Amino acid sequence: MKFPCKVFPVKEPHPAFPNEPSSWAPILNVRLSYRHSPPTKSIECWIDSGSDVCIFHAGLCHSLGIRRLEDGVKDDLRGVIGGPKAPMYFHKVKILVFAEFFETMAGFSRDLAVTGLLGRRGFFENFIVNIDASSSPPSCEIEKIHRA
Amino acid sequence: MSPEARIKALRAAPPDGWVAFSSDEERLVAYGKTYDEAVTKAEKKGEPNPVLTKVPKDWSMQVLSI
Repeated sequence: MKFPCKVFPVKEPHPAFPNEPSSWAPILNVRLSYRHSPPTKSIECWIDSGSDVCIFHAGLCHSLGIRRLEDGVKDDLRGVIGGPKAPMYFHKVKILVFAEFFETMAGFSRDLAVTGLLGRRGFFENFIVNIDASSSPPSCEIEKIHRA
Repeated sequence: MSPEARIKALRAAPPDGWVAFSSDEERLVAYGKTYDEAVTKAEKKGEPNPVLTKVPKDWSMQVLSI
């Protein structure tokens, strides 16, 4: 499944790239479901090989039927390099990607800046990801890993 | 939706809120303070299957918003 990367604004152009007021990222539309709840609407999530796990904004919990965020397994959400941290709670969810799905323990945090991150545990265990940044716009291709 | 139109819609979105695009992602449908509010507004505007995205407090793109 191949799809174009999506554009997003940047606060201000980086001094090294002064003519770039926006950037591209491999952002994939997925849906989540929890237990027997109906799935969420499509949500834009960042494919993020730097994230150990899949993480979603806690604002999705009500719609998913997660009554109490804090009933999940607690951890801390941290930035890339130390700095501030925020509480994150793991709940088992099903992630629907096009016609495929997988289950994983995903973190939910009120302090995540974006909708969601598709990380190594869960997403990269199930999909091979290729990013072609030589084209404009860049494209991303994911392939489901089917295990015997 | 062109990249320029998408950037314009995202920049105009209230910080820390949610944006709903049409299912084909060709139109901005609604803004909401919460996911649920954005979905409800989109449905009232005749879009039953919006595509939702969370807007950070600013676009400095750090993982944490605190």
